[in-house]
Amino acid sequence: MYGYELTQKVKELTDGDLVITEGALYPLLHRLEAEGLLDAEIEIVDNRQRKYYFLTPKGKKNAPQAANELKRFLENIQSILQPKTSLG
Amino acid sequence: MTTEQLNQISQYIRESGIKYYDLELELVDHIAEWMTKDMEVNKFTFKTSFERLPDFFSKADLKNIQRSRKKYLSKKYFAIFLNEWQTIFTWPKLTIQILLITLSILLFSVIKENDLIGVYLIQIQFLIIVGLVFFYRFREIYKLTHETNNIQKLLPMETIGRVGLLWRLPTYACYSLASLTSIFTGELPMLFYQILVYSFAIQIPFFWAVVKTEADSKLRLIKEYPEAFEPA
Repeated sequence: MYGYELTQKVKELTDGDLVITEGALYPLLHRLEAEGLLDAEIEIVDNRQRKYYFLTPKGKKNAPQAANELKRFLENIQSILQPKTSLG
Repeated sequence: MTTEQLNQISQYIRESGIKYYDLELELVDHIAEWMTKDMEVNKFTFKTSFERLPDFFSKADLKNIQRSRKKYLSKKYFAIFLNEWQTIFTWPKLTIQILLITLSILLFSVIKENDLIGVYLIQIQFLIIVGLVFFYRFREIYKLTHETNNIQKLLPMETIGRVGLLWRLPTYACYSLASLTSIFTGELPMLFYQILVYSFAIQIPFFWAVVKTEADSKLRLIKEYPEAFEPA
């Protein structure tokens, strides 16, 4: 996927609730690329160069773990916002 | 979009403070995609959509992208160098290194201390051969990066140069120190030769890892951005 496509995909999946700005997206992509989780290939599309990002084998291996970490983080946030009430 | 329109976007990006060709190309594509959608959905002309750019792609945001790219590229190339360095630590290569170190030590103990300079000169010749093999193997890179005058400014190229400092700085420091000592004492200290002779087996793989990282990365850049290396 390329940069603009990623922003549109996120927008589409969240029905427009989540908008990723370029200022947030590209530093993230560059960080993941530096960590060896992403790699990029350049193709010519519509008279201009387009950079496609894809997961490296290391990235594919780490993706489920990262998703689990994010899930746990969201659960923790949820429990902070709505603490479980106990009768004791 | 026409070439002229794409050039206009490039101009906007450059005026926003983006100095690097590779980053400019990526952002041109992003903005061009955004504008195409903007013109399609809102029925705007190119001019109207272009005038809206500062509201959606501020200079601060674009410069922030450039800053982060600089920061993470250094990290990326250092990681590549470490990987390259680690490939040396396989049993066959490690055995050769241990043998080289042992040989240096044995040679040093057998030969009189004064002949250490001779050992060092032999090692230097070996280093020159390694260097020549390397330059021959990657001669295209040196031809492209040193003979073309109008090479575009690529951020990865600049960062690769910084990785090269990994071996240049210690080497320069070592020789400067030796030169300074020789100025005051009249001759090069024996310690200088001892360090160089004993560490020779480590110097070669280190030198190779850094220079190969530089060459491989430059090779990839030449493939990715061939027009940036085209002669005038």
